[in-house]
Amino acid sequence: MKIEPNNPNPLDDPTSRRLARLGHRRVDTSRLEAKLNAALTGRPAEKHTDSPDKDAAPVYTIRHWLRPVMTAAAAIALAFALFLAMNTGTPQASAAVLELSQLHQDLVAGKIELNTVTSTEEANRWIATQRASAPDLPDHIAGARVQSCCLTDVHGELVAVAVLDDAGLPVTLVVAKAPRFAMEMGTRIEIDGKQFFGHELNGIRMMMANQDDRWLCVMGDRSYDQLARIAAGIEF
Amino acid sequence: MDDPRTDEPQADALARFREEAWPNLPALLRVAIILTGDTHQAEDLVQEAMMRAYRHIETFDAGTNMKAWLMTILRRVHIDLYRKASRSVESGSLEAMAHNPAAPLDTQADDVAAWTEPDELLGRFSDQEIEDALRALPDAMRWVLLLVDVEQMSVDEAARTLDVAPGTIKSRASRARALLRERLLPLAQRRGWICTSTGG
Repeated sequence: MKIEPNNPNPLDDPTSRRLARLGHRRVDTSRLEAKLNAALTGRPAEKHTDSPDKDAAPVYTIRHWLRPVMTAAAAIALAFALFLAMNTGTPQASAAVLELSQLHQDLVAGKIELNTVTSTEEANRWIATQRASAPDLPDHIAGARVQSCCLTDVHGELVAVAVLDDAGLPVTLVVAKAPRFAMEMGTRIEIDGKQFFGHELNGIRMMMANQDDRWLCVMGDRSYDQLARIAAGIEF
Repeated sequence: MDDPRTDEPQADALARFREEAWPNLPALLRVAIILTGDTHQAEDLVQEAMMRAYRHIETFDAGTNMKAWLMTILRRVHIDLYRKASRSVESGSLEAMAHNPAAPLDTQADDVAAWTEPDELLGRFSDQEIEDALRALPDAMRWVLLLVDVEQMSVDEAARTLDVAPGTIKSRASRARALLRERLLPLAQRRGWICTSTGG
């Protein structure tokens, strides 16, 4: 937000712009949402996999764990959660889908700083200068042109992002190192022997796949067929 | 602490809470993480703020800014839970300066000549370093930058959230940015990014 005081300092705008970048970062709200849901509904929060800190147990649910009736309710809730996890993906996966959807919307809205590039090679060179541990973008993407790239995190994991131009519409490609990000979610789709998982949220369709040692997601306001065509044309 | 379930929950209140307040969770958590420097503390802070908001959702005026309302609550919760423990002699003096915009700010951080290519220079600092510098600011200044620069709220919204005049927000923001640069300056100098000015 640009403010014009009486005697504006020429360093204020650059400082303001640097601070604005902090506001573009996504945060993982899944654990917080679980705690809030538990507090609002009286059901205990599910144990989050990356929450080893026992002191972080939700304030509002501790006493209810102690109630036998709530223990029974917890068992029912756990069974229901397991049923959902087996049929629709893990809670972490769902949270990641939300983050991915938001990521695409932020990119399209220009809320995330992007590095303009003309090829995946140029994008990978830029990525290599940023973080040694960052995943590479694919060497080849058939049928779509790379416009820009950035590094960010999704569900706490570092990911490489490329914005593609697909017939004039933006499509977002996200790549993560599969061993740390492997997940299966959504509808299983097979194209040319490659297995994908389709998901739709807030009008954003996603096609996800584990390819070699990577996990990738192609998403945008496109049909599954259009996204599948791009996903199938990706080669590392 | 009130238990929201002691009263029969109003379905429409809960629906309104989920529809209007819930989408602001990322912004609240982002601010809370910067405030506390700890994800778990930040989650506790936002959880408490959200539960207070839920209990008083009927007091929120439809058509006004939900995010600003939630930030007001978050700030109050933060003051209640953490402020007393974090006060220091140094931040106390800075706090006094925050309330006195006319006080001179004789700092090399405002040496415009030293900060050549300021966007590029400031971009070299990691987010963590910027957050650390923000946390070193007094509350009054930190909140202005969190609301106006980080969360891109308008001056009027920030003024209502912090219960001060819009003019105070403007002067405080400029002063806070200068203090932030002052906090970052030694780091830039140690790394050879910036020349030491003689002040003349």
